[in-house]
Amino acid sequence: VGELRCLRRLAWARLLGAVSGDSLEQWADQMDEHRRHYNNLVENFKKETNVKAHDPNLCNPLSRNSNNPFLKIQVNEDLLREIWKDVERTFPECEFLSSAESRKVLQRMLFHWCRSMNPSSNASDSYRQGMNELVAVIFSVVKQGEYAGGSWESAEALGTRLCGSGHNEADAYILFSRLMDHGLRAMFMNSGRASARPSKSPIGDLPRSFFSGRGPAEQGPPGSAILARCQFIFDQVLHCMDEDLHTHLKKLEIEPQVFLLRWLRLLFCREFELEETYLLWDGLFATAGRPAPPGALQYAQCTGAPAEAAVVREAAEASAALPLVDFTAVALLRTMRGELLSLDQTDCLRRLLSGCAANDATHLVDTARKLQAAGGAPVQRNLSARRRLCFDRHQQLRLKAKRQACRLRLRSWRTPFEESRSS
Amino acid sequence: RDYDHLFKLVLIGDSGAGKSCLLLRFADDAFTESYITTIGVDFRFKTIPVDKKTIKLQIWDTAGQERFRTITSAYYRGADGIILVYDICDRESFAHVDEWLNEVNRYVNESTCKILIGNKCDMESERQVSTEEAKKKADDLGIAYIECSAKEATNVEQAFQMMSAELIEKRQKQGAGGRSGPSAGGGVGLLQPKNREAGKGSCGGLGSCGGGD
Repeated sequence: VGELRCLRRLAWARLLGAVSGDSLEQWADQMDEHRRHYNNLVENFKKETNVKAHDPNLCNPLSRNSNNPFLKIQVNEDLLREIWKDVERTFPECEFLSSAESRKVLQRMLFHWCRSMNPSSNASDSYRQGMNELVAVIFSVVKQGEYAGGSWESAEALGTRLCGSGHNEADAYILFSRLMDHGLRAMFMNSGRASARPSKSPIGDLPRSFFSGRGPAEQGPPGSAILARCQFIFDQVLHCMDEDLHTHLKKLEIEPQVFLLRWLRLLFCREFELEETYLLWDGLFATAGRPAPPGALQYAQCTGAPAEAAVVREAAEASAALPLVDFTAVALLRTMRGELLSLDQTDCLRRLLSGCAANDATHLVDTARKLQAAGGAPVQRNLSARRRLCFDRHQQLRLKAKRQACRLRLRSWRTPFEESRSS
Repeated sequence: RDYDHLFKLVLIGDSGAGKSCLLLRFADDAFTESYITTIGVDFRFKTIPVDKKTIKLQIWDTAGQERFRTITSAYYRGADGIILVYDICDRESFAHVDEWLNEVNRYVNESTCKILIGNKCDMESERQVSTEEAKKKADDLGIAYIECSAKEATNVEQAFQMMSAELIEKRQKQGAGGRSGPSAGGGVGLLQPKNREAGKGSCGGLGSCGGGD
């Protein structure tokens, strides 16, 4: 187990596409490149806020020049404070993550990620609650995989280059940023008909009319990618695979986004203990970017306005980036199936939102894979029973082949590492 | 059924105001300093006696991060009461009260019960908003105000009692009209859309709400 723990850091880097190729030397070079990028972000931030280095005519607390570092400092401080509010409440039960030192690192990583997504004055538009937990899970994995030194000189050099403890912050940032690129960012952002509150500006509030508010609440086409994805998981995947459960929740008027939002944004990490979350994410990342099997369930074509079509496309891309997630959600729902079917609205909601909904991540991933391979496959909902049977059989064979391929691939990235250690 | 009335309440307010802690105190009579951020929404229920009636409260605890809320309509749909929480030691959270009400009024009608809670009143030395100022604000807005401490269990029970009593009164008045009181609260009926006419002008009233009507 100890061995696997160390490898997870590298495995996630590989599965999330931060590194590629067969040799660990190559991986080390690629990681170095990413680290340089992160260090640049940190350096630029320092320069930007170094008040002394600027022209005092442009740069004083009263200047309204948009390049005025004082304004930027104010904006940065607001964002840092906002992030800190959540970092302070991140995995309080975990000794490592709740230490003052770790919290500072988590805050820095989130801060620089936000700034890299948006120019500095709008950086706070990129931060959403929940990202703090994603980055924390990753940081703890990176910490566990840090290379503590060894007795072989060459291995030590490579080990340090790959996983040296001095790289922990930059490496966790890289993994987090890769994860966000795998459809997670779209789950946090509110594209489409956003109802935005004006962002706080140090020179006073912008006029309200500047921001178009949303009209009275109405049920309509999804206004954001996460809503579109919730609808897809609920009305297509679940409906296809477990019509009774779908009907039951629908009858109770439980809207899927109420429980799916947290599952999707946090990749289920609230539903499991930290140790189980690692295992779950291993499974989710293992299928990152894999093409969907032919005939897999697809998002319905959007016939609405272009903005709506864009939202649905964004959701579909998020589903495709980590293809097992949607099926994991359905599998998780099905672990509570018996209970849910017998409960009323209040108790169903309580059950769905209670957190720690399941305890066996490995089993859940397994079930999700089966659902993806078998149940999720029907092209049309009313596939005849016979055709479905053939289809299932076909999918099972595909799955078997896929698993074998997966095992081979796993071996291929482990071997060079082991070789280098024993050389 | 083990209750006379079922009400849906929604907790709103800035991040860190202590919404989840208030709910934890009310539902489980517990407090923790190390609470975790609410993502999306959390949910609790509690059955309490009010005026010889048994009331079941379904309480939705929403995430505080105020900008770009994604699925707001799902939270507010069918809400009977809104509990707006701010932190008495954080002036900014108090300054946002108007904006929260503006948002709420897009989704619920004006007759929906609302209450303003100033939380963390145990931290008197760090207070930034005086009781008088908050009281005046609440009066201007025409809603009730109470100061609580989730940590020391001050007024938490009372706040929910207050709200429940008001809701019962309202429902009984309504019951005399069309809806047959308790039978409307059977879970499914709870999420029936509100009678829009009752909140005449609530949809268009965005601008006026903040000014204090």
